[in-house]
Amino acid sequence: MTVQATVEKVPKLKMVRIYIMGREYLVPEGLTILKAMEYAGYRMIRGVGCRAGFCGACSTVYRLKDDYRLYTALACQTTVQDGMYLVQLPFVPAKKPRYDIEKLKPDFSTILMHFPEVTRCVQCNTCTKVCPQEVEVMDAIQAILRGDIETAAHLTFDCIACGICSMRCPAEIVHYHVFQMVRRLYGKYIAKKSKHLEERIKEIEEGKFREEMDRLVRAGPEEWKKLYAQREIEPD
Amino acid sequence: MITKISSDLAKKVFQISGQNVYVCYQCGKCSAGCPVATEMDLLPNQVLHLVQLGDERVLECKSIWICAACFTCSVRCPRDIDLAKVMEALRLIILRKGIYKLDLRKIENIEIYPQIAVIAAARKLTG
Amino acid sequence: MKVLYFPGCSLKNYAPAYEKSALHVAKKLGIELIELKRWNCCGVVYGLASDSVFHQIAAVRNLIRAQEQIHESGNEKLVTLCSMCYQVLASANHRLSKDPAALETLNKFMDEEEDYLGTIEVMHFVQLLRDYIGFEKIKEYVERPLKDIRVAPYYGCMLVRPKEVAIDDPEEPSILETLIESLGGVPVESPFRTECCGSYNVVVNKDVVKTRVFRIVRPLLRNSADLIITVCPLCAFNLDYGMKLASRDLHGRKIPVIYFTELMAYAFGLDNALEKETLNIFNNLMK
Repeated sequence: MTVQATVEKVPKLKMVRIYIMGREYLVPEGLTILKAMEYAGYRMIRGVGCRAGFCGACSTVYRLKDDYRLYTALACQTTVQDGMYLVQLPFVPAKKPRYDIEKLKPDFSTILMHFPEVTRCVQCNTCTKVCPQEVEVMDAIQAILRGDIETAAHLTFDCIACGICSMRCPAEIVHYHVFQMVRRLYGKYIAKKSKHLEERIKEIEEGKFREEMDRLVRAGPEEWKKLYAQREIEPD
Repeated sequence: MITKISSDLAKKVFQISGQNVYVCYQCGKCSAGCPVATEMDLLPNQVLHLVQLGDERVLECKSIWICAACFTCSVRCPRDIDLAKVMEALRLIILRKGIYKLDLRKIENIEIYPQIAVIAAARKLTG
Repeated sequence: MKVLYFPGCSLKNYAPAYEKSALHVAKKLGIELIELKRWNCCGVVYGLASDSVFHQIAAVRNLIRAQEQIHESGNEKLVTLCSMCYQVLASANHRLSKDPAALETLNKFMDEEEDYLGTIEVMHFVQLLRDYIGFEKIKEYVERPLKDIRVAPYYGCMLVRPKEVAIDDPEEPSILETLIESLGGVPVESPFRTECCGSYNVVVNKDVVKTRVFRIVRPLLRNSADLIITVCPLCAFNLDYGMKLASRDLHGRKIPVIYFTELMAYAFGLDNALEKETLNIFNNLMK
């Protein structure tokens, strides 16, 4: 008696040809550049981070088939394409500025003192065009030039400091350092203070919750389990 | 000290500025009207003369960096030479080589200036 | 009348008094100045290279913004308060109208923007007042004639040069003198009123500004000027700073420097449009 075993046909993976640091590899279509590099056998120790498009570590420069242009992107957020020719930037070696936020004033003269090169912006808009997070980089720099710290802070909320803009800027501005200072100035000096936070901190420092905390800490696992089961749950 | 004489300089200036320096007959009106002439080492008409002669030492003078681009010379020239453009061309010959004539990070008391002063300085002295 | 308005980078934090007084004066005259959205720094100095358009990108981007927003004002005028801005925008406009290849290059480069068609008309506020309101009309709004206060006009460079964009005669302009007279003031003879203040040299070569301002201000002191009016924040800064630098040579004497719109605001009786200090200066002079 013969048993006919039916084997389900495994769908054949569609492969694409990509070039990593000049070497050719066949990788499955649909992988991100990062995953494709690992598929090809690379063990990533630089140029990789959160893998979720938020840390700015995996800046990549590449070109596509039949296209002369150079593109930039984050490796963890971009899928491979057939004919992609790519190289990675391990990091952008910009000098980290040192300053004491307590001693700074939230206006343009502070920026001018620390980053006078923002005055060289010619508004070529290259920074905005290469930003992987779609931040309006040029508009933010121009807002800073006008002294409008608040607008710049809001415009640059999504900046992940990948440094691609700074690599291409003809005026040699290191955008993400300027933006970081601007956001810090905004948060510290301009944004509205949350009164309830200040009040709560005061209450804690005055020891209002000391007794309750001590009791809880001493209560032990049985008590904790009971309290957890009985906790107040907010209605949906 | 470079003492290379070349009419390439006049050609280069023409290429960048569109101004033909050989039209100038050295009347001196530009130097007479230039508001910053007293601070300059070479007067505007002398700068133009050196370009006419093709003397590249003109690129080492201080005058072209003191020029405030106020256009007084251009407006008064009887031969309609836009001397402000010639000065800019001479500046650009140097700036386009990547040489900066201003270190933005070394300006004293930079925080007292309104933006336009620093932006103008950056544009003229760093290209 | 509605007009699109381009403030300029220094106006918001360095010269808010200029903007405040200008907006109030405009409102009184029936002009609504509509601030351009998403504007950028114009570049301050006009790039003079004929073989490159790189330095005109900034100016043209702003002209495109104006072009995008002409439906807000219903006309194609763009008004500025700063004469450096005026000169840069007007010169860029002029150059592109004469050099279609440059316009095409710029439009191609700024592929993320709409094409600039070259139809925006750039004006300085004082030019708008002269050409669209008229000084005779302005006289009618004066509620507090200046009682013969001696005012020295300082034009600086950028309003009267280069010839292609000058709003008045480069050697003998008279627009500010006419304005002063229409407000009831006495224009003071200022032989160096169109001489450059030194411009950006104040950042690198302070002596240049010191000497220039000394030369400009000395005859004004001799002619007993009470005030100097300017049309540009950079000139205002340089005159003020230059007088400080040259204070020894001027024997410690100074003349207050104000913007022409502040003078107008005072004459129109718009006290709330002026800074307290400026108001005090005026009130003291009127005694």
